[in-house]
Amino acid sequence: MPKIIPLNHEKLLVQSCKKQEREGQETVYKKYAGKMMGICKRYLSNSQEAEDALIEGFMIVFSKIDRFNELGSFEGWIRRIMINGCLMKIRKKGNIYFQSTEEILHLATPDDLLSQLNMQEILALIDQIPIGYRTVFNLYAIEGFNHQEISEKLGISEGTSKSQLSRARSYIQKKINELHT
Amino acid sequence: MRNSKIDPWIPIEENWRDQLSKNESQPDPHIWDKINQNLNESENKVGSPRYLKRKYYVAAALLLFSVGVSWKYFSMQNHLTQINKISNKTSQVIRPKIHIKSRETLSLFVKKAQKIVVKKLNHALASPQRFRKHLEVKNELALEPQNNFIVQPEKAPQSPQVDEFIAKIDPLNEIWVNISIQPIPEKKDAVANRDTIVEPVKNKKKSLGSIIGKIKSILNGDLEEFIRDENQKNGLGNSIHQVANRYIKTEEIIKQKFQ
Repeated sequence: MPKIIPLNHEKLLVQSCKKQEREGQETVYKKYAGKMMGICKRYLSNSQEAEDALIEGFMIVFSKIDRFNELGSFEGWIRRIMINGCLMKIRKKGNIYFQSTEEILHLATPDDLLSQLNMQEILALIDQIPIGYRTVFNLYAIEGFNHQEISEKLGISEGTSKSQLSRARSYIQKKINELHT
Repeated sequence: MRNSKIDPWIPIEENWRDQLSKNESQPDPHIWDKINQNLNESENKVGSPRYLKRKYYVAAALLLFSVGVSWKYFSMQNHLTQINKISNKTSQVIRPKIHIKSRETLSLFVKKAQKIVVKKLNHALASPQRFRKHLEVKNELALEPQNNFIVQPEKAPQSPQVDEFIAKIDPLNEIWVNISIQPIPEKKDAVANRDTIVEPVKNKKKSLGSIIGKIKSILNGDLEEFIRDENQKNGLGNSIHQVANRYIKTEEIIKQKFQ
């Protein structure tokens, strides 16, 4: 009879995964697959690519579970693996281009409408941003990484990261203005 | 810590972050099956006892092989050192007449063969099959009757021990030969030039002749004489060792000539 592990018992889940028990792994997958798929789609847009990233990400989670020290959040650890997997896919694809300019655009105060957007609208808006800006915007605005961390992850300078962020914000502002008019 | 007074985008992005943290997008149900399948495959590949066993078997085989090769190498080195020592002591020049005794496959080898090297001479002398020398045929020199030796395929002598021994040998890889050694005196000039001749050639001939006679009789199946002779002080064994030393010296000279 398969062992049932309560979904909210994170320690038990981790221990079960460390023993490579399939029941524990499946429970972890079921618990986090939705959230992680959301992240993958936000970075990769393409559903097929997002699914591939999800599979590869969970394979890493289950094979490298011994490296999880159980001090931090398990979800946060899985999240980082998924984000790194997505970034790797973006890099491999080779269609990401960061303008090496460090020029930061001076933006007007953001429209109040931006804070009134619901989740689906935010996602639709982010999905329209060109991939270079979008990646930096996702990392900075949504994941909360700072520019130094982003520059290390993407292999760009901090200035470029700041520049890309300002361009992403400008793009969002422009889209919102278009909706107004 | 991000300062919202400096950057007016920060509260908006925090709002977005909160909203998106609840975002879920359910993947296709078949994705777990794929992950499950991948996990099974990787477990079979890396973690299975069969894989580990195979890995250890390969490692053990490699270890044994390397130990074997090094043992063989060092034993050969020792053997060569012994031969060199013996050769240095031996002053007498004996030119051998070699008869190969083997099975029918020998003729094939002889056609292909270009060089004969006598191996494990001392070892062969220490065994009951001491009159059969293991020759390795190499493609270096034409196997025509040479000035110094003659290679002649012959039938192996009839003896249950010999038959049993030969049956164990792979006919495609090994040739067992009988070597009878006959002294051929050097030319007078050559003898005069040598400064370390131990005994007159005639005496050598005589002793060698008797040894060869005994060898021949044993090869013909009469092992009793050998056993009887072995117990004597100046037995056949000792005599053969002497002859062997001389033979090794000769072999070295032959090798040098061919080289």
